[in-house]
Amino acid sequence: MKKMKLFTALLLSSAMILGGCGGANESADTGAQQNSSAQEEASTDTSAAETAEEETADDGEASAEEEAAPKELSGELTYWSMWNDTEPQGEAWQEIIDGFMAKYPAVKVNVQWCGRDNKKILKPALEGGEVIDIFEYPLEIDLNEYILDLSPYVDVAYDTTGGKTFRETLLPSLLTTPQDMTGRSDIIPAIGYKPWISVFMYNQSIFEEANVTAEPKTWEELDAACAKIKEAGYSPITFDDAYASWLPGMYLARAKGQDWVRELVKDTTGEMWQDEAVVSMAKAFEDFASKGYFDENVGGNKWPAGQIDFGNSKVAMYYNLSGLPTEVADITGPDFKWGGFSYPDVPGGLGTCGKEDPAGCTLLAVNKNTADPDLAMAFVTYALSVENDALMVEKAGITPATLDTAWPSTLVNLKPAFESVEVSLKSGGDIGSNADVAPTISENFIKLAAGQISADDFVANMVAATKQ
Amino acid sequence: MHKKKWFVIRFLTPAMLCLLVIFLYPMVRTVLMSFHKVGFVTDSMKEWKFVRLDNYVKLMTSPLFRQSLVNILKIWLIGGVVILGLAMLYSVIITSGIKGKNFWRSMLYLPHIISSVALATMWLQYVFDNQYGLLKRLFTFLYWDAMAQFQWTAPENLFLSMMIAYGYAGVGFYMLIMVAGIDGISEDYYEASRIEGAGMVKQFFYITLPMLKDIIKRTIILYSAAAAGFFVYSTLFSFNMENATVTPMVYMYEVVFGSSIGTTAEDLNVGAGAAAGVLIMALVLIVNAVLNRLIPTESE
Repeated sequence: MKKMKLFTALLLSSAMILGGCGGANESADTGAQQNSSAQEEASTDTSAAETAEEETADDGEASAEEEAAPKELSGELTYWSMWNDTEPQGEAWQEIIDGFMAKYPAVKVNVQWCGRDNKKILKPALEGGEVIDIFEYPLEIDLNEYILDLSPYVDVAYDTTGGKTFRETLLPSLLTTPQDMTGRSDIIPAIGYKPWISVFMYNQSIFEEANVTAEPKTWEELDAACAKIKEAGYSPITFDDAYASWLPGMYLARAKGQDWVRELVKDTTGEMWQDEAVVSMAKAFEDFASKGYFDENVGGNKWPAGQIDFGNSKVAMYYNLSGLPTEVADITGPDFKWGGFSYPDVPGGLGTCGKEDPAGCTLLAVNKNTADPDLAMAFVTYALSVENDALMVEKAGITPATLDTAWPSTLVNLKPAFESVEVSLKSGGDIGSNADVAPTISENFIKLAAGQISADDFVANMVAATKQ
Repeated sequence: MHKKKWFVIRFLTPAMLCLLVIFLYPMVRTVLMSFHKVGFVTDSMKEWKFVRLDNYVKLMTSPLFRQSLVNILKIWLIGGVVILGLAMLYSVIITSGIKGKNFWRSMLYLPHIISSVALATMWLQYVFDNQYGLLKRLFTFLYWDAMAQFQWTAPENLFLSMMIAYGYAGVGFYMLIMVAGIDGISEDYYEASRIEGAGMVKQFFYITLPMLKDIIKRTIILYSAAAAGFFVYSTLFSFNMENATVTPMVYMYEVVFGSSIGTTAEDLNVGAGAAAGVLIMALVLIVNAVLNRLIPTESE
């Protein structure tokens, strides 16, 4: 009887655990999650396309859509998307898929709308031999063994590249960033699209009203700008809990570089948290808090409360990804004047403002086991043609992927920031890279910015939390 | 006799097979996994790397996992006392002969049938919001400035806010079970006690409480199971993992699938997730054993 009881108890316990697992919700999986970054050389030497692929380039006329489909484009493709069909991005992709099938009637494209669940289901599906030709590579899992090297396919002209090679049509970073994001510099593992950058997004109207004429490039200039904005009756800066650690993280990355920040968060002695850079950072934000530069609600802001305040023009600046305009489009309306500047240099820092910023892109990969790589690449190049890129920009508010796509009015002021980045960092200078410590950093920074603790308290709390 | 046994076996086999496949197999696999380094949850056993007790050591030295254990203890003990206490209070009031018993019972149970995701979002965005939330407006209207300024969603208050929301949804469920239990107690006991001059309080302590012992034990076990799997409210109240809301289940999900911003394949450790699962299972077993010892059932 006792054994039976024990057995029943074991079964019940496992049921509880399984039940808990089943309750996993996806609410935290927001669009803000494609956030790995990469090293990136802006000066890409676009060597002449020499690969001996069959050239199907047309003459680039607008009537290309009506042209008879080349005979060789036929077959079936399966694309597993990281979007849901109800999202603007999904809707744009559906139009692209429909357009591709209309242009090439002998081709059938199947699409599986996975949403951000793709990180859970892609690998098992690929391992199980599921036919997936094209997929968005989720960086939380390692799919390197399933990706096709796209090097032979980027220096080729396609139907939709207007006589140029595919490489020549794309922003150079969209071929190099995926290499760094996946750690495969020996091949081109994926094509990037929807590039993003992390900057101080700001409301130009408030800047103008407060007579802030130039974007701050140093901490002193940021201080001065905040003072003017405060004087004009606005809160200078706000943030949400979700991104709280990015502000101190980037300060430290400007002071000592991203690698040092990674060491700092992995420190188990607590000593690194007493470093002069950490103390200066804490003092700088303590100073900002005491001057009232942070919005009064930062202590309790739950995403997206801070974003809403920013969208409502209550606050002038919000350090975030360049996808922010899309996220708050319903609040800002179409007339909102967006600006964005690189995280300023800090006193005694490395002077990397405008050169090193968190940046990355969404990765579109082709399965190495695809039956027809040419067809898969024809689809990829079609999706990232100027016309379809413009469609995604218009429908989903994403950043352009091709050189010839017009930038939307909401993002055009961010273009210089995109173009100046030489080295892509991880979000917040990778201050979140130790999951054990990340919540404590965020929590203490929120309290520091809300004026609840002093800089000394911040340092002491971090030392205590990391000392093992 | 032999025929009867065979008859029983034939009927039990499908259910037993289901139990073995659905519960026992994953459980054994999870326990094995907890001693290995595993890259992804579906990796075949050939790809697992034996790491002895490393995963357990990692968990025990992780400040976040330790915090998650503290949180789950608070959810179980403090949350349990408050939620089950309120459920008991409501159930006694509802069965005391008040008017509109069915209405009150439905009203209190209603939050339980609303999706947890919707409910938690409602609390977070519409009630606790520090600018436009119901509480902010209510206390401002009442000129109670201290409470109007109270930051319900600040890191130091988030746990309290989360438990208020969780309790709101949970009380009705346990109350319903207790109401059913009280309804099952013969009215004769109460009538006899009234003749003897017992008041409501004495009736509760000398009739209701002893006769509800089994029911109370079951609600505690049910609550313990729910607390062990505490996940949805934590993830909805925190965009990334937070000290205030992290629970072992949230930690487990994080190391297995990675949901926080910036997670990469290097950060995942399915073996550590499995070890967390095994520890939760051990905790639940201990709680069950202690409860069995403390509250023996009537039949024993």
